Amino acid sequence: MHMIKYIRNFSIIAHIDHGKSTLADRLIERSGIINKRFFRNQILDTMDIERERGITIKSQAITLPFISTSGERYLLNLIDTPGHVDFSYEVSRSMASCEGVLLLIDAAQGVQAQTVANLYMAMDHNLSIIPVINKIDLPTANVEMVLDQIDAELGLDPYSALTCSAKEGIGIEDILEAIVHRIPPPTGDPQSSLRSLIFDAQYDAFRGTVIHTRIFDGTVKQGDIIRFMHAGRVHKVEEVGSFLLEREPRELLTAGDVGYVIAGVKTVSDVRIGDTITKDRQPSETPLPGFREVKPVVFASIYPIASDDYEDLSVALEKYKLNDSAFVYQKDSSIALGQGFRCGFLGLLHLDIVQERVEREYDLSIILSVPSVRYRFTVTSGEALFVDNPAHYPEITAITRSEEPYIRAAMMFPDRYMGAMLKLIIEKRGVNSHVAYPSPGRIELTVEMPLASVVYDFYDRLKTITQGYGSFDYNLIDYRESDLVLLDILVNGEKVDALSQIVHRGIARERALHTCEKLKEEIPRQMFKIAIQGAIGGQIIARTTISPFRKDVTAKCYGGDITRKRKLLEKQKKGKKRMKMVGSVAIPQSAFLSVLKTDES
Amino acid sequence: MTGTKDQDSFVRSLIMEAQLYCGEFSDFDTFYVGGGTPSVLAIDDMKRIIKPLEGLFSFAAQRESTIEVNPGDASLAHLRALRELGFNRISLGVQSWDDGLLALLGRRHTAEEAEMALVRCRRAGFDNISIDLIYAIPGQNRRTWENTLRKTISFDPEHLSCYELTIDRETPLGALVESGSISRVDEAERAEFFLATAEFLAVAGFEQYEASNFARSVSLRCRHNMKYWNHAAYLGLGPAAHSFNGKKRWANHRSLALYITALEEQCRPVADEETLGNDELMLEALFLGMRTIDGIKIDQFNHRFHRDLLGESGDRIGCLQKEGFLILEEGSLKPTTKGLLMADSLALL
Ligand SMILES: Nc1nc2c(ncn2[C@@H]2O[C@H](COP(=O)(O)OP(=O)(O)OP(=O)(O)O)[C@@H](O)[C@H]2O)c(=O)[nH]1
Ligand SMILES: [Mg+2]
Repeated sequence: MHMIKYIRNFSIIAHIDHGKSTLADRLIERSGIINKRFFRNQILDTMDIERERGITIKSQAITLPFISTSGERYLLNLIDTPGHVDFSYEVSRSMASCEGVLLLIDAAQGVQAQTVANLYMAMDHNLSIIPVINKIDLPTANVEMVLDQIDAELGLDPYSALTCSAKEGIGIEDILEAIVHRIPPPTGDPQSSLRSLIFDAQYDAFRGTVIHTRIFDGTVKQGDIIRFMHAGRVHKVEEVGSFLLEREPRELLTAGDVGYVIAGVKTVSDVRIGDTITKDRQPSETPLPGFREVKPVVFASIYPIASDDYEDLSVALEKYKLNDSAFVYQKDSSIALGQGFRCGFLGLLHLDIVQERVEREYDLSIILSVPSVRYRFTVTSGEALFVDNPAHYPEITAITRSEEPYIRAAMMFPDRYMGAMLKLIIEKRGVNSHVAYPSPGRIELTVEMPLASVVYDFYDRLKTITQGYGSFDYNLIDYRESDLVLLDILVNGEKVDALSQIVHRGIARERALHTCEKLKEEIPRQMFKIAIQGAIGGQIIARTTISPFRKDVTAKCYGGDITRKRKLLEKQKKGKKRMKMVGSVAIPQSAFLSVLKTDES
Repeated sequence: MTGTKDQDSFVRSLIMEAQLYCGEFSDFDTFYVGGGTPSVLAIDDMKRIIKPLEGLFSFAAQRESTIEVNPGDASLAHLRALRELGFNRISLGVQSWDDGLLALLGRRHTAEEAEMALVRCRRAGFDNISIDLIYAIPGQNRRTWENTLRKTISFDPEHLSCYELTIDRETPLGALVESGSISRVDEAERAEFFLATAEFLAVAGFEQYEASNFARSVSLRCRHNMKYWNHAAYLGLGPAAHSFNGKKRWANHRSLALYITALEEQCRPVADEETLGNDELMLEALFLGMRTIDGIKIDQFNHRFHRDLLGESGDRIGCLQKEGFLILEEGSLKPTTKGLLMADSLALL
C-alpha cells in the first residue's frame, strides 16, 4: 500500500484540441504500464466517436506508477478532461477529486476562452496550477507570446510555466517532476469515517454501475456496507480498485486514492454524481460538497424514421442513458412524425453525439426536431410556464409575458476581427458588451445575449469569422423579456411539427426563408410539386417550391440491363427508408439537421 | 474478330455453349441475333451456328426471328441470305438521318446508306422491319426530332425503337461532354422529347407499348423483347450474353478469349451469376412492368409474390392515379404516358 504522501491527484485541463489526451499518452507511455505494441494515440479516448472526431467527450481517470529522480515511488492519478464547452461539467467534477492541474496552452494558439474558464474553475477548487505550453514543435509556436499571455491574461507567474511537445515527447520528465514537487499530496485521514466523492459513473454490462470515486477520508474494501449520503441507499461493496488501462482490483482504497467501487448498483441513474459515499456502520457526519446539477440547455425530439422502430428506440435510449447521465428524455409525440421522445442536451455537440451514438450503437435511423432552448411564458392566470417544445407553445391570447434565457458569453480573438465580430454580435442580439485588451493585439469581448442565438450556428460563425483564432465560453445568467413568435413549417400544406420553432419576431421571416431554402436543397425532387411554406399563425411569411422530377425511366432495359437496374433501385429504396414520409413527401433525415446550418454568406 | 481462326473457334464455342444448356432450355418461339455487330459475321458462319441450334432446340413454326443489322453492312445479297436462313424480322440501327449527328454518335454509316438499306430490306422480302432512333442528342430540338420521325415513318416501318441518348465515352460526343464543351440535354427537356415522341407516333398510328418501343399493331410488338419485360425465361449465347431461367440470372464473360477458354475446358463461360430471392424478383417485376403499357396484372402479381398490392399500397396507388401516373384497368395497374416517364419511381411505389 502506498503512503498518502506518495500519491498525486491531478487533471489535465485546456482549451479544446490543445493536446490534453496526447500529453496523457506520453505520461502513460513513460509509466511503462502498457506494452508499446498495444499503444495507440489518444489511448484514453476509448469511444469510437471520440477517436473518429479526435475529441474527448468523457473524462477518463488512470493511475500511473512513477519513480522520481530522487528514487521515490509515486502513484499518479491522472484525469484527462474534455475541452469542448458542452462538457465543461466533466472538467469541474474531475477537479473536485484533485489537488492540482496541468493547464495546457497551445504554443501557437495561445490562451483561449476555455483556458481562462478552466483556470478560474481550478482556482475555485483551490488547486495547484502548473501551466504547460504544449506543441512547441510547431513551426508557428510562439512561446514568448504565450508566456506574456500567462502573465497578463491568466495572472500566473510565467516562470512557473513548463514547455513541452506532447507529440514529440519533449519535456515530459520535467512535467512529471513538477507534478510530484509542485502538487501537494492529498490530505485526509485513513482512520476517520469514510468520505468518498462520486465524480463519475459508468455502466458495465457485466458488473452494473462502476462508480468513480475519490476517497477523502477513511478506507473502503470488499464486503463493506456503504451508504450514499444524499440518496440514502445502502449497498454492499463487491470490488474496489484502480484504473490502470483496465480496471485493476485492489484490496483497499484509502484516503487520497482515486479509484472505482462496484457495489451492485443496477443503473447509472441510481447514482448521483457528486454524492458522498460513507459507511453504513460509522457514517460520517457531513457529506462532501457536491456538484451543481447539470441541467440541459438545448431540447429536441427524437423520432424513429420507421414508426415500427419506436420500441427499439425506447430501449436504445434507456441503454444509452446508462452511460450518459447528462442526457435526459421523456415520451413525446408528433402529429407529422409519430411517437418519439423529448430530449435535453448540454449543447449542440452533445446533441450531435447522442444522435450519432444512438444511430450507430443501436443501428437505428432517427430524426431530430429543430432544437430549442427553454422559454418562459407567463399566462393570464399568472402562472409561469417553461416551454422547451414548440408543440407546447401556449395559446397566444393567453400569453402576458414571454421571456427567453440569456447567457454571458466571453470571446477571445485577435483584434483584427473586431469589426466582423461586432457585426455578428449585433446580428445575434448581443447587449451590454465589454471589451478588454488582455494583451497587445488581443481582445476579450464579453456580451450578454440570448442562449437561442448561440444554439443556432454561433460557434461555426465565430470560427469562420476569426479564421479559427477565436474562442468562446458562456454561462447562463437569467431570463429576459422577449418578443417571441411560433414559426411553423408546412410541406404541401401539412404542418411538420418537428420543424416548428419559437423565434424572436425580428428574425422570424429570415429564419423562415432560410428554413424553406435549406429544405429545398435537402428534399430530393419527387414525382409531385412540393410547396414549402413558413407561417406564423395562419399567415404565410415565406415560401418556395420544389419542381417535380419528370423523367427517370432509362432508355433500354433488356436482358443484360435488368440486374444493374435492380441494384440501382434497391439502393434508392434503401435511401428512401432513411426518409420520413410526411403526407406524400419523403423528407430525408439530413433535411431536419440542415435547418440548423447557415451558409457562410 | 480478326482472322478466320478466331471465327472458327467462336462458332465452335457457341455451339458448345448451346449444348450445355439444351437440357434446361428446349422450346423457343423467338430467336434474336444482336448485340455488337452481328452483321459482320459471314453468312456461312451464321449457317454453321443456326443449323446446329435448330438441332439442339425446338423452335416454334411461327417463331419471330430477328437480326440486328447495321445500315452500312446491308447489301441486298446479305439480306436475302438472312431471309433464307429463316430471319423474318430486321432491326436496323438508323439512329438519325443527320450525317453530322451520326458522326458525333460514333456511327460508321451515313443517312444515305440507311435509306438504301431500308429499301433493300423490303426488296429482300422483309415485312417486319424495326428502326432504331436516338433522341435528346445535344443540338437536336423538337422540330428536328419530329422531322427525323417523319422521315422514318415515310418508310412504313412496322416497329420503332426510340431511345433517349445514353452518352458513351468512346464516342466523339462522349469526349465533348466529358471535356465540358457540350452539355447534356437537361431532364425537363428530355421529358419533353419523350412526350413529343409519344404524341407524334400516336398520331402516326403507333402504339407505345414500352417506354422506348412503338408498334403498328399488337401483333407487331417485338415478342422477343416482351419476354424481358414479362420476366419470362431466356437463354443468351455468346460473349457478354445474359440468361435467366426464372430463378437465376447469369452473364457470360465479356472477353472473347475467356469465353472460348472456358468452353474449351467444358465449363460454363459465366462471369457472374445470381440467384434471385422473392424480394428481388418482385422488384424486377415491378420496374419491368411499369415500363410497359400492359403494366402489372394484379392477381398474377399477388399470387406470384404472396402480396396484396392494392391492400398494402392502396394509398400511394390512389395518389398516383389521381396525379395521372397510373390507371387501374381490367385488373391491371397500368402506367400512363406520364407514368412511363417515371417508371423507376413507380416501381418503388
Ligand atoms: N504538433 C503538435 N501537435 C500536437 C501536440 N499535442 C497534440 N497535438 C495534436 O493536436 C490535436 C489535438 O490533440 P488532443 O490530444 O486530442 O487534444 P485534446 O486537448 O485532448 O482535445 P479535446 O479532448 O477535444 O479537448 C491532435 O491532432 C494532436 O496530434 C504537440 O505537442 N505538437
Ligand atoms: Mg482529449
